[in-house]
Amino acid sequence: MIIIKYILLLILFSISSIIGISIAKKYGTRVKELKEVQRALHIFEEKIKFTYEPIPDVFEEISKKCRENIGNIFYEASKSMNIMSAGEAWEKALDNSNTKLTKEDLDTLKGMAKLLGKTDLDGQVSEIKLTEKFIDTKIEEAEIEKTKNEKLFKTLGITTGLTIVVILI
Amino acid sequence: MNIDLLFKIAAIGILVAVLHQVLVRAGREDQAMMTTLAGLIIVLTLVIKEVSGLFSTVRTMFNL
Repeated sequence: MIIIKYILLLILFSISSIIGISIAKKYGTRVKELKEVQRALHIFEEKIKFTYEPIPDVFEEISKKCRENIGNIFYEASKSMNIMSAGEAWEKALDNSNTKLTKEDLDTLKGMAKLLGKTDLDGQVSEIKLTEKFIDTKIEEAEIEKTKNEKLFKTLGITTGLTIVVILI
Repeated sequence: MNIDLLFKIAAIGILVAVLHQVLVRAGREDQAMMTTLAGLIIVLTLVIKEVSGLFSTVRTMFNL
């Protein structure tokens, strides 16, 4: 009976620690993903400027170069561009994406959709540059939030678990 | 009286102090205050039985 009690307490402690750590991890992942998006946009800008390849091909290449989640967005977008316009495909891919980016981040990225594949080269490049600048500020915000919250939630999860265990012992 | 109770209260005190510090550092004074209060209430519920025992002992001692 006592063994079962201690096992349950241990489980309780590990669950609350895991919850804390996973919340803390979310902040770090957001920064990483934002940086990845910025890199992808940079590649996109360079490609569009110098190679004149169609957008679906460029997107597919970017998807190969980026890490899983962000690469997936570009892959999905390039796939759906066969059936719909570039802007719609980009928005749909962002909506279906499975990332830790906040809604604001996604909205910033969606802002690019309106001009995608509709204006001339200069228009698109300037639009991409604008989005990159927005992402820059988002990265700064995310960094500040990360330093503020990452350690907090880790300690919070572990200490809360310990407190509950001590109360129930 | 059980000595375990004392250790329990001490442990809760330490953990609540740590929580308070962490929350204050993160600029969440309100929540730090709330955790301190919660700790106080938990400790009070733990000792209330002992306090009532003390009162009844005093009453029986002086035949009140």
